[in-house]
Amino acid sequence: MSSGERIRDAAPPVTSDEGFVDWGPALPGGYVGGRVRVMTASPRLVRAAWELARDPEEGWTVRAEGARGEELARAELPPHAREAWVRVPPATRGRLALHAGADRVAILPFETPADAPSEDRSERWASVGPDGRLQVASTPAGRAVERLAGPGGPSSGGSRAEVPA
Amino acid sequence: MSTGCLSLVLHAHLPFVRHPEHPSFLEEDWLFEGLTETYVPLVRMLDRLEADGVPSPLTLSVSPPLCEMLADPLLRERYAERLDALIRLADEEAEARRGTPTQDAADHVAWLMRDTRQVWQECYGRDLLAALAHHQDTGRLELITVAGTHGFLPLMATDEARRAQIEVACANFAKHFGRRPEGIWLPECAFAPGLDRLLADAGLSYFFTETHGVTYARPRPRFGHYRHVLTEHGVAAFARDPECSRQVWSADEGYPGDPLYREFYRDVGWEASAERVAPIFMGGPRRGVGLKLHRVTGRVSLDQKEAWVPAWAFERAAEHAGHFLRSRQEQVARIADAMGAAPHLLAPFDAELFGHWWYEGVAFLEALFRQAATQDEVALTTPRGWLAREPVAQVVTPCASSWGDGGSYEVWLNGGNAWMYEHLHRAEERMVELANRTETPTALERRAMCQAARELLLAQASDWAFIVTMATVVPYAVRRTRTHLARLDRIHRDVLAGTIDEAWLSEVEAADSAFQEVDPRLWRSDGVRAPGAGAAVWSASAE
Repeated sequence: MSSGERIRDAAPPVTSDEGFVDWGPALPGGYVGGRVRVMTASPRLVRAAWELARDPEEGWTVRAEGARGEELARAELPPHAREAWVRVPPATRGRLALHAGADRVAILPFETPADAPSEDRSERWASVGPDGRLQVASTPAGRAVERLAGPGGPSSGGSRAEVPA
Repeated sequence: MSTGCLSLVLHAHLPFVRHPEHPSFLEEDWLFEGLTETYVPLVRMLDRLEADGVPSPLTLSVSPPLCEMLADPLLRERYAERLDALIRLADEEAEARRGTPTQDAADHVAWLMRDTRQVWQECYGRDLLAALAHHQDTGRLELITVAGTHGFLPLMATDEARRAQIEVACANFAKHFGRRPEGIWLPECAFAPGLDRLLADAGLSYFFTETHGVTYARPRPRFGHYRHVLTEHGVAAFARDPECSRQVWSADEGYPGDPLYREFYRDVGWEASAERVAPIFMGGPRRGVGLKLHRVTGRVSLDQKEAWVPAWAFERAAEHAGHFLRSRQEQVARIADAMGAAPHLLAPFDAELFGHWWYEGVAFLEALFRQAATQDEVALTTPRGWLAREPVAQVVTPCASSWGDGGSYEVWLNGGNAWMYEHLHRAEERMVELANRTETPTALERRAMCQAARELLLAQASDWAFIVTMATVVPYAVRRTRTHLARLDRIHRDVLAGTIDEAWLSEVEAADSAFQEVDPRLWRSDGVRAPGAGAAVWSASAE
């Protein structure tokens, strides 16, 4: 099942007249253990989620920083928060720090993909040898085609607020 | 000599849906509709082209869950029963519509249902996988696999889980088709740098990305997405050509919206008396049954749709195939001239677009193969064929991407479905813990670990997060996710405590029966050679 451009809208949900909806067995509301995770959602959006033993009275602070330590985004969250959606620039290799009040709880790396062609135009050409490894090949003839590429890029970003949590 | 090449790639996938605990189950319709409208017609098309000696260089990815369902005796029996019921209903419709504008359409549908049963039951012996293997073995079809249960690989937390999804896919492909695959369809075309390392480790030589997976690669590929690129680990990446896709896929510019084509939403299932459709619904809610007698007509309400005329529709499909081919001829000539090199166009689609969503789509494909065989400006090929012709490529790192809306991961990770990942990630860790726990499990422990692996795989299907985002059958997607996770949780607890309940385990084995060949050792940590490869998830313990 894919998304994106579709020839038709998805079929409307088939609903039963019965009032009861079976959502399946309940899952744990949380897990024991101090775990923090960061997930990349798009070139401009990462999600941080955490499971920690107790909530700080002062609330949480999530701070995203770039490779040189510069602040990219900062969010203040209430004590009961368990996640944050943080807006960051594309093509960033940075770090995301979670603070409980004044104490840093965790710091993790994250990476967002590019949303534009690379400025690096260096070239290396190869074929694949019988052992599956790259074998250097001579540069072929031919011209760059960026102006032919047309509207191939995705619509980037999305409209999510910086920290909807 | 052709000035460029075109690879048509169809991606066939459905989530594993099998409910022996119910006499009939609504979501099993997905498979039955796919069989009648897409999978059987595609194989029929390949048969006809083979009989006529027309080349059909088609690449088809068949996902492991779909393979497992196509091979499942219970689902085969249920499909046979469904076909019988549809034949009765279609015959009644044909009789009732004598002398009306929809007579031709009703006759066609009645013929189609009988023909499908005859072909599936008698020609293929209910074994569509064998029919696909035949076309693979004769070199007319390039079959490839799809990662495991269509899990969204970059959003998995552990290296073991990503690697296992790929290995499970290769083993399942070998079980059904007699050899390991050469190529793989990454679920949702979701790529993250490093996944290529895992593909290389599995002996896979190519995969596909969304357009910007290659055009935004680093360094910038000189030929954009018009030729494949090679990753550092020697795996080829082919990127979707949006111009090819738009003509087929787009609601505004695409062929399927033509007024002569069959209308998807007006269906006998919504209109026939409750008594007549009861053998199909079997107590379930009213819904479409795949018997459709009207055409798109235009932007009018469903009750104003005019009768579908099969002859007109199939003639239009042939015209559209000709238009598509001429467009590709013009496109490759234009690009080859600009590039000074032969381009390769990749046209990947969901297989179910052809036949299910766009009924005349299979006729379009057949006409395209036949017309392409009479010209030499664009060579229809497969990724393997292209790689043999053009082995040299630029070495780049493709960009993280998917073919979802916006090209990112957001369809599968957003405010509506993010909760799933907390549990899925924990389930991955539990599976890894079980796999690492012992070198020599008892027979019962091994059964439990195999079942834990199945439950994890089934929970990881990207379909569940997708359904939540698209707001279609959300309760079912949530229930499936929760059920598999809860079963894995119990197995994990029971194995660690030494209290495996064999009777309960047998019930679960019977319910979630896919992947009998699964090996839980795939989740062992000692096999991880590339930590962090292909991940868009980073974890840390609290300081």
